Amino acid sequence: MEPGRPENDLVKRLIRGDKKSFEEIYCIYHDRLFNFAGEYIGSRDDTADLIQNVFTKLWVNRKRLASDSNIGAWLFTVTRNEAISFLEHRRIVLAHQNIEQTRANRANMLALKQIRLSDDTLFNIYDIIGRSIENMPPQCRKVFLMSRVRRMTYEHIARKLSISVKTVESHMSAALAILRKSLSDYLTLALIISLAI
Amino acid sequence: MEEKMLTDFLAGRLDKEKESEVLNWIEESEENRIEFNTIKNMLAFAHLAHEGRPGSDLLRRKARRITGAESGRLIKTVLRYAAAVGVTAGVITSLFIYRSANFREQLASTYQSVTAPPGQTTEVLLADGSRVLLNSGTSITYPALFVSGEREINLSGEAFFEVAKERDNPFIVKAGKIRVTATGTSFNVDAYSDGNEINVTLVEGSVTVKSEDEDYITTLSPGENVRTDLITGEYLKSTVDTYFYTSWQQGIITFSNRQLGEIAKDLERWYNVEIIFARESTRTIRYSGAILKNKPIDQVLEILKLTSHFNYAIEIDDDKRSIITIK
Repeated sequence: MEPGRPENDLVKRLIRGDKKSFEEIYCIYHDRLFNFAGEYIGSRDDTADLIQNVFTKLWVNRKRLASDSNIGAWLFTVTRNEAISFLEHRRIVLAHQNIEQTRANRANMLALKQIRLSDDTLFNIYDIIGRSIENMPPQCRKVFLMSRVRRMTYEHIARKLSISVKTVESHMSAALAILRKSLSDYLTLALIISLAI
Repeated sequence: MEEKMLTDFLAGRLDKEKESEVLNWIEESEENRIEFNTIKNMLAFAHLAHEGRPGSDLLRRKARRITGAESGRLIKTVLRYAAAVGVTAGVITSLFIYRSANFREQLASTYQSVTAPPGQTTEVLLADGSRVLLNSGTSITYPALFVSGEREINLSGEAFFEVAKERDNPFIVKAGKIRVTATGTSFNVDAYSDGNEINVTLVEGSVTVKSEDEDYITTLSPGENVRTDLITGEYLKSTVDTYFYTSWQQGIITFSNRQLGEIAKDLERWYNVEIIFARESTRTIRYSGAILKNKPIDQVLEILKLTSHFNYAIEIDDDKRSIITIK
């Protein structure tokens, strides 16, 4: 994605109430936001509802957008905020039940709260992450995507690729190291991920 | 804490005890929490690199639920037409497989295969009393006799199942990458090989649908549909009007906000013709409505033509399938 914001035209049409451009935006961002929020929410159904809410907000508030809005950043911010309030609500629901789940829920919520991004940084993140995944060695990338995007278990991946679980583990940690390096190379990102709450 | 332990935690690979250990560690100091947050957020960010699915019909439909465009362009003419003429059943060929003690063993290892000819539906009665109605061009393969403990059927295409109740012997339909398990129920499975999706719709009873690699598993209630996107593996469960998924049995093709390109695939199967689009853009015109399958195809095309701007030409060749070009 270039910082030239090729989506400007889409946004302009969206503001005018063009349903087709809304559909296009939906298709471009749905999976990213779904998988992103899913990391913190856990349950598929809850995540699906949440993302549908995010897009509903976009549609309802379309007239209030500026014509040069960064739609990706807008959606990302709303997703983050919705996810935080979902986790906060679930914390109350869980309070008297499963203690482990409550703690995991809290850890996820705090992690999510730590993310503070400006629009421009977000553009760079899409870009950097895309490139660093592309630059992973092929098998490593395959394992990483199977695990993170397709949510397959290590055992399942091992069976599919005819490799050992140990090898899957080492591909995963290599992938993580690559990601960590490319992100920390980026000054602003280092700042984001170490920002205190 | 080892990074591996943290990533295992995030992948949900730890037992309760180890999970507690990681949580204790996270809560122990601000430094630890930031380390956890860094890895957690990094993995979450990785999803932002996803390319998106600009052409996904499934996603477009979900988007349309928000804009309220879901009902699409209604071809009222077609509906009126359908109502006036009434429902005419398609040609039904029935096959009966009888139970015979002498052949029991032999039959259990013998596989039967039935294919519905293009343009026709075929009814199959199975040895256990279950009834299967095959849509045109569909085939199923099944053992001539079900041995106790399993009733397994392979499906390619679309079929409606009315399963005889046998609590202990689940009835399993294998279609492409998914498995549908039922005990006594009626449901529709649409898994034509030229489609990108498999649709399972439950009319009554209860079924379990899972993917071949067990990536997901879900149970349907009556009136629910699960659509599996074969490209991404994503599935979407929703409450539907089951009529849209089962009306083909009455010789009616119904569609709700479907693209002409998709409708053309149904027409090709039903009329045994080949449909060519001269302009790609015509494929994306959307329709909602119903078509009676026993009407000649030119009548069907005339009706579709009423609401959009395309023309068509039919080339009849006795040796091959007729070719229809949509301009």
